[in-house]
Amino acid sequence: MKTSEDGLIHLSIDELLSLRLQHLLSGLDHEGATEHGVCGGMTYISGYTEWVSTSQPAVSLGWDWCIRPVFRGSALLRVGEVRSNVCLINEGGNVASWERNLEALAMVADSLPWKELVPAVINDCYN
Amino acid sequence: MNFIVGTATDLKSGLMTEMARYRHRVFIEKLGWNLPCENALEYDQFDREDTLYVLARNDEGNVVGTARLLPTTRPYLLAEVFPELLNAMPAPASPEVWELSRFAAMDFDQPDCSPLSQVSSPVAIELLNAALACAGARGARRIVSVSPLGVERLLRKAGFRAHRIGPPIRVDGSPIFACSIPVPEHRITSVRTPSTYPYGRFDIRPTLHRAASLMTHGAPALA
Repeated sequence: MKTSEDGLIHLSIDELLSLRLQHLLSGLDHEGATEHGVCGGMTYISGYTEWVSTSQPAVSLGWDWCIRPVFRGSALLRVGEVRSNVCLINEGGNVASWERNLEALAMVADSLPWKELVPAVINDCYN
Repeated sequence: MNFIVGTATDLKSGLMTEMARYRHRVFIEKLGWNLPCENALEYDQFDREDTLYVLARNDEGNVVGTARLLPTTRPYLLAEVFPELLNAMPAPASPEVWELSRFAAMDFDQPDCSPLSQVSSPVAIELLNAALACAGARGARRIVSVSPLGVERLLRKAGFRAHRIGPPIRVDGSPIFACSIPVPEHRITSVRTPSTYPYGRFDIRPTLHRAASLMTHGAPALA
């Protein structure tokens, strides 16, 4: 693991997966919440969540999410790319492309138990 | 809309006061930042003689956007006030790294003026590009900034390959983070056409052309 001058942490996917990532904070978006706020209209709920490693320097991953209606209920979905200070390197030590990096980080994010944790955090924060 | 760039000496007291009043309206009155101010003017210790400002004005001449640029070779906000956002990294101190702060793009002449849109409007994108070009013309290859967390999302949506330096922290209940934004060659060369910059009191075009030339030809950083 190495931090570059611009603050990016260079590490391999194996090194990233070996880190313990824990929930840091989550919140709801307020922008656009009233756009669909007509009586009887569908409510659109979205927000963000942040996860961080216990290591130093800390690896930081954040992404947006939304709640979408599905058959007989709703589902929490990640929206868009992961935002991070991680720059993944391959076995040869070469830096992954911007797109490949984001794809891999999205897979890491999706493997975290955020869908179970975020609703409880939001309930605690806003109730 | 036109852009004006310069130091406090260049901008003269009238325009500086206008900018400080605008900053007060945005950051204190609209966003509720807890900053010490006098006479409804927002200044802080980083508003110095060497501080570079980029102002956007609408066709009526009213300020609709501000940006503040500081070289990291002198005291700046991230290093002095929010070093914990650096994630244990030494604070940048290089002529190739500048700090962007007090960034705002709200047109109070518009009825739908809202803090939520202040970093996603076309004015905001143009202002950010102008700030990057101005910093680039002075040798910057990278911009650092302390921002509300939502700015990162908007930078990404606007196509900037910005990244965070470390995890966000909560300040006054709101998460903020430090980000790093590369000065992009293609943005400077493609967005900065002379026709998009009407004459202002201080014409920004020579600066932008110089920045574009530097980035295109790979000249070394300015001395």
